[in-house]
Amino acid sequence: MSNKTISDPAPTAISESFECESLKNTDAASSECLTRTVRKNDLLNHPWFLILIRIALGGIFLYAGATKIINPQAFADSISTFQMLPPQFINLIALGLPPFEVILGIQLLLGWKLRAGLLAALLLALVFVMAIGQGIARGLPIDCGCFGSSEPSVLSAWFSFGRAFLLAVASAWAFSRADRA
Amino acid sequence: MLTSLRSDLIYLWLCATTALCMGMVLNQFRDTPLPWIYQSKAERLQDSVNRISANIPAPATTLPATLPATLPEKLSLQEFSAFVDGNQGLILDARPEIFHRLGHVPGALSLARDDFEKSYTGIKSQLESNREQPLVIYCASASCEDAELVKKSLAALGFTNTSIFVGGWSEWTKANKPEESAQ
Repeated sequence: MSNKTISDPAPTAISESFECESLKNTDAASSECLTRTVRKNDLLNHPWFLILIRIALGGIFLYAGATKIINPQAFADSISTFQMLPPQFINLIALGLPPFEVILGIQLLLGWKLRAGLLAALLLALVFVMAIGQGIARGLPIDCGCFGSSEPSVLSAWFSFGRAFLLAVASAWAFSRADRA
Repeated sequence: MLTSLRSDLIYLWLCATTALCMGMVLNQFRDTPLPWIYQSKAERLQDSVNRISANIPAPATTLPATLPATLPEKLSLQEFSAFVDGNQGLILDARPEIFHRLGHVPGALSLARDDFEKSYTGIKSQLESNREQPLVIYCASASCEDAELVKKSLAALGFTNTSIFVGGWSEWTKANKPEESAQ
């Protein structure tokens, strides 16, 4: 990293650079801290990082949709464990969501209509977080059904919640970057 | 910004509608299409039981003269092991058929909850030879409900001497008990 980059950090790193200056240590330590901050922001701003996240999200949605399309009855049973929807809606979701995830996955992999795709990924991930969260709060043994059905349990619900939360964070970050682009 | 967000949402709405239509069309080509309104596992099983019971003779006509010992409602691992070793009756595997094929308790027959009607028809002769014979049902683990649902369905079909091995396949394999798999 050149001295010019260190003395002229990206705007998003300004608050962190203040933290570095407030260290009140030696000049060398402060400079090293600032270099780390700028390198971190360089990585996050790198166009390949957005592509990587986009491909990862696309792969996840494509795989999730494909596993659910195979057995919609098992997915409907998984949805019913959430105890959120009346029977009239469960099968409609079980039939409609998997193809939507496949379309979304392909769209993200290809990078076509990227902003809309990332918005859909974000909205879906938020719905997953809320659905699993309400199940955990009610102490329901949930089968997330995210990648095919499994045995419902509270422990697996926590695991699914963490996974959906990470998905939401990654989607939100990618959407914010795609929006700037 | 708002205009582009609106156009994104309209596009997503179109995608969602297309996906739903695709799902509905695909559903029509399945062997057993999903009905429009969801039926719980218990309701689907009850439907299967109703269809089966319409085609079988009344239970009273097949009762044997001497009744075997009545099983308790639930069996522990030790009790179940003794039942298996002593060959005291039929063992029924309520897990999906694919799991039965991969591995099951020696001598167990597949009576899958998720495909009850087909499984029942497959082992009908063995089951209906004696409606009072001891039947022990198991599923994946202590937390699965398949064994309980199959037990209720069998009771509705006139099988009264039934019991559940509570620990299921998970406890059986953890105890390093013998396994059998399909050829």
